Order: sequence, then C-alpha cells, then structure tokens
Amino acid sequence: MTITRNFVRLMGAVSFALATSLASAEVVVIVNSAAPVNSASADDVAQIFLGKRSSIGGADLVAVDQSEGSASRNIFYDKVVQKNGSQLNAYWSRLIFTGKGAPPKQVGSDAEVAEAVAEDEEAIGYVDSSAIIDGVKVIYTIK
Amino acid sequence: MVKKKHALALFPLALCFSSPVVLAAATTTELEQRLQEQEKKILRLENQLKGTRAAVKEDRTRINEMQERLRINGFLSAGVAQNDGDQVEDSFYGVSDNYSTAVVNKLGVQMTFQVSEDFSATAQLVSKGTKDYNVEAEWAYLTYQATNSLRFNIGRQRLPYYLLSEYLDVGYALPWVLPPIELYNIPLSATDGISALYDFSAGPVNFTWQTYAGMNSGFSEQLEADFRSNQSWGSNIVAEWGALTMRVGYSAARLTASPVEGGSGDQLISAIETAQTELVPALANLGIPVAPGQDWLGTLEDLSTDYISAGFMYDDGNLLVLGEIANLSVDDTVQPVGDAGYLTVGYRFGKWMPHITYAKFQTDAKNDKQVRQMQEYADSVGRAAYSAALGLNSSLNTSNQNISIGAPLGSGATVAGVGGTAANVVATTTCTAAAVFCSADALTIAGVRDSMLTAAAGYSESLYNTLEGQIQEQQSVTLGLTYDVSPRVKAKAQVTHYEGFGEGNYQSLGSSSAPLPLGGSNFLPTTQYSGFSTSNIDGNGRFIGEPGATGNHTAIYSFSIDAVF
Repeated sequence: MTITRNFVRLMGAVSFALATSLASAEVVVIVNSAAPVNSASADDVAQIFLGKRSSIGGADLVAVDQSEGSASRNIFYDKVVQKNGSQLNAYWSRLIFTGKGAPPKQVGSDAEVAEAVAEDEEAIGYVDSSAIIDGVKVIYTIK
Repeated sequence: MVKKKHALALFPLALCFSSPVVLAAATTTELEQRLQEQEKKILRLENQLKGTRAAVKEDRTRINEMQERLRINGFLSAGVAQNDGDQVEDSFYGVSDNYSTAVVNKLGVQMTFQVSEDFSATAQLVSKGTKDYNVEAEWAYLTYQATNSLRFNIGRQRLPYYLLSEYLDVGYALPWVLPPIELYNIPLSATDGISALYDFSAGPVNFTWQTYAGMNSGFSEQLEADFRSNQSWGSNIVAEWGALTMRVGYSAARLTASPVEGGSGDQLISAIETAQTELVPALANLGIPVAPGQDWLGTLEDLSTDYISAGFMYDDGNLLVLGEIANLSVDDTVQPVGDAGYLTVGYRFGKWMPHITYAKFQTDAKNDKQVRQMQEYADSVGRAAYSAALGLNSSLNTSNQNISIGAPLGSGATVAGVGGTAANVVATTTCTAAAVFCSADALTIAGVRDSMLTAAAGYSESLYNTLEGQIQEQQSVTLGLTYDVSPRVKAKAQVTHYEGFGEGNYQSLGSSSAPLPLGGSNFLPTTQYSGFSTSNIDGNGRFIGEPGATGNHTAIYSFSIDAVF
C-alpha cells in the first residue's frame, strides 16, 4: 500500500513537473481576476499595447509592459503585436514626438507584471505562464 | 555603576511581583477595563506604526511617481550629403557639391511632465544643422485630456500640413535620409495656437480628427522672404485600419510676405515695381504706351494660401508602401507652388530594407497663369523699351541732328526708370519747338537709347526668364537602403536623381554683331541687339542654371545614422 501510494505521488509529481515545464514555454496575457473580461483576441491585445484602444469588450484596460530584453517580451511582440524592436520604436517615435501617444509603462519582468496586474483591476500584462499568481486570470494564450 | 544598573534593570521585575498585590485589591471589572485600555493603547501604537509605514511607502511611491510623471525622449540624426551637380538652388536642401553635414544633422530632446491626471506639459527642443545648430522649441504645449477620446493642445505645435510633417525631423521614423523635397518643402513649420484631437472608431477602423488654429511665421528660401500669418487653421483626419493608415488634410492661412532686401523675391518685385512706376510712364512720354499691368505689389499682404493633401502608409511588417499627393496654392503672387506627390515602396529583409521613391512636383495652372501674366507684362514693357530705343536711334540718324522722337519730351517728364542719364534729357532740353531736340542733346539721347536697350533686355529677357523659373516641373527617383543597427539605431543611405521634365519657354533678345543703323560712330550703342526670339525648352526644376540648361539635373548622395532614445 505504502509503496503504491508513494509511486502514485511520485508519478503525480513527475507529471506536474512535466506539465509546468511544458507550460513554461507559454506566454499568456493576463488581467486582474476582477476585470470584467474573460477572453480576448491577439488583435484586441495588440491594439491595447499599441495605444490604439483602451478597452476590450467594455472593460477598460491599461497595458503594463515588460522591460526591454525580457524573454516574454520578445515572444509577445513577435507573436501578438507582430513588430520587431526597430518597428516598435519607429511606431512609438511617430507618436511620442508628435504628442499623439506614449508607450505603456514598463515594470520589469514576469513576476513584477503579475504582481502589478494582481494589484490593479484595470491592468493587462503578459507573463510566462509559470509566473501566474493568485489575483490574475489568463485571457489569451500565445500559441 | 554596574550595581546601579542592575538595580535599575530589576526595578520593573519588582513591579511585576508587587502588582498581584495591587491587583488583588481591584475588582474584576476594573481589571477588565484596564486590560481594554491597554489593548486600546497597543492598537493605537500599532496604528501609529502602520501610519508611519504607510507614510514611508507613500513617499517612495511619490518619488516613483515623479520619475514616472517626467518622460524624456530624444532623437538624433548625423550624416552627410553630397550634391553631384552645381546648378542647384540653395533651397534645394542646401546641399552643395561639397560634403554637407548640416543638412542631415539634427538633435531633439523632448520632455513631457504629467502635471495632473488631466494636464501634461511637453517641450521639444531641436537643434538643426540647417539652422546653425540653434536650439529651437519646435513644440511647447500644454495638453488637456478632456475625456478619454478628446484632448486639447495649447501652445507651439508643428503644423500638421502633411502625412509626415509633424515628425519630419525624426529621421529614425522615416525611411529616407532626406525626405522628398518635392512635397516636404514648406517654409512654415510650427504654429502657436490651439489644437483639438478627437479619437473615435467605426468597426475595425480607428480615426483621429485634428483641428487647429493659430498664428505662425517662417521663411521661404526660394523667394528669400519672411512669412507671417495671424490666421492659420486646418483640419485633418487620420484613419487606421490594421496595417493601413490613411490621411486627408486641409490647411489655410492668410500670409504676409516680407522679402529680404536684395533677395530673389525682392528683385522680382522691385523689377516689376520699377516697370510700373517709372519705366511705363517714361515710355508713355516717348509716345509708346504700355497697357497697365495688374497690381501685383499690393498683394504681398494678406495672401490667401491653401494646402490640401491626401496620403497613406501601409506597413505590415515586411512591406512598406507610402505615398502622398498635395496641392499648395498661394493667391495673387508669384511663388512656385502647385501639385506634389511621391510614392515609396520598401521591403524588409530582416534588418535590411531597400526602398525606392518616385517624387514629382509641378507648379499648377493657377500659379502658371500668374507667372505668365507677369511675364507678358514684363515682356510688353521690354518690347516697348526696345521700340523706344529704335525710335531714339533713328532720331539720332538725322543728318542735321535736330532729332524727332515722336512725342515730345516736355519739361518735367521723367524717365528715371531707365537709368541715371534719363533726367538729363529733360534738364538739358533747350529747344522750344515741340518734338525736336537740339544737337547738343544727341549724346544724351544716345544715353537714353542705351538705357532703353538695357531695359528691353532686362525685362523681356532676364525678368521673363527669371519668372519662367517660377514655373517648375521636377521629378526625382530615390534608391535607398536602411539597416537596423540595434532596435534604437538605424543606418540609412540613399541616392536621389533630380531632373526637370515637361516643357518651358525661354526668351532671348539676340545680340548681333551688325550695329544698328546709326547717324554716326559717336552714337554706337554699347550692346547691339538683333531682336527677340522665344524658344521651347525642357521643363525647369529647382535649378539655378538658365531654364532648360543641360546642367539642370543632379544627384544627391546621402547617408545618416539615426537614433531614438
């Protein structure tokens, strides 16, 4: 009995580890658990991060960005916003220097973004799925 | 000392032991009350502590917020351009045949401070090589965010004439080292006033509608004139639909032009003015009336200008296509304005993007008509002066030197417009008989004749051809390459070939080796002319060579490093 139980526990742990390691390759878009939105399209999210929109499905959202150089950021901008660093800087410089907009606030990396989103009902961010904490929910998973 | 310390340390302990004695005397209710009081005290202390912690935290947040509230961004372009040709106007980027760095070099720093939730203040200071690296505030305004979708900017702002006008200095955001001058060649860049920006969307399309009103000033290098406007306004709408951005805009201003003394604009104006106020009356006195020209001179004030433009940009990450067409018209003055446009296509291969641009500019029919009217007038004055010269010359041809010149030059008549000798005609006229000059005046008459010949050449040829230069037809092809050095640094290189196209007129008052038939060798004119001829020439771009000259094309090579930070 003991051996079987231990074996089951062991298998459970292995499969959990496997699952998390697989999941850690995923970058997810998160909002505060209390935000009145449960899913979004890549385009919705991209528009928020490019400052072209300020809400998804009626929920007001403010983008919280990761600092340049983070792995999640590279994946997010490549897959969701579909702009590389140069294109993104060209895009923002057209807005910044004409007073038409400013890029989202950068707060650091996965953990800081998760914390910021958990603290702010209107925040939207993206993190590696391993960084998900209580108080946030996933509205889009980058494939 | 040590003992004393111990004693002190033991004192509370003693109190503790003694307290049960005191407590024993107290009732249970009293005990509970005291306990509650103690608890309250602790609670108060805890709260105080919390308050202190909160205050510390708040201070930290405030510092963070202050850092967040102030945003500093900048842009930089450094590079070089070389012009292959030498017959290019200064306003043609000011790129000479030597290497020029000034035309490319720019540094801009922008500061935005979030004053409150609704208000922010922005200043953009730019130092440009073309303005001797003087630091100028291209933008300095206060933003009031009235609602999520409506905001007002109050202060100095770049004029939103065209698709890229507002960030023309930010080289990093543009594919070219030098943008198409055919379109982006406006003497005015900033306005002091107010603008309203309203965002709205319809389905997948996001719109921004901007309207501004203000006053501005600038300098036209082509006319070498200062421009000032107290009434400048415009409206434009930008639609964004995925990778596609489209824009239409209209701007209007009532301008007053003040040409720099001796500049090209001033020369044009004073030449016409001299014709109108001096030469034409003198010619009338000589019996050669010239139909009056229009009052071109009074119109340098309160000129009505209109800018209309439509542009688009498509950028899907790989393919970049952008283009714009525009018309600029200025009422009632000679100014090379009209229709301009360009189309750029680029394709990104990783960090590289080769691109090609075709750009075109031509003065429009309205401008051309004004120029033609002035040319006609200048030509009619010139031809009249030529006739007058011939008339005076044949007078000189009389053997008895009693010269008839058609209509009399009565005392008080002036021909000051034709030169210094003119006044002498009247002053030394001693004959009483009308239409007859005494022999003593022959030399003077010869002088007037020569002045008339000079005026004929000046008006019918020089001014006519200078005005022809205000009718421009220019096209260019640019091949360029950009390279992303890093996400914030770009290197760009390009070569542009400019040339005139279409057709133009060129007037010449031909010189001849055969002297005019004269009465004697004493009266030979200093220049001999055989008569006028008008020839058809190649269309003229923005070149300083005579219209249609073979050197009127050029290539500009340019390179820059552009960064944003």
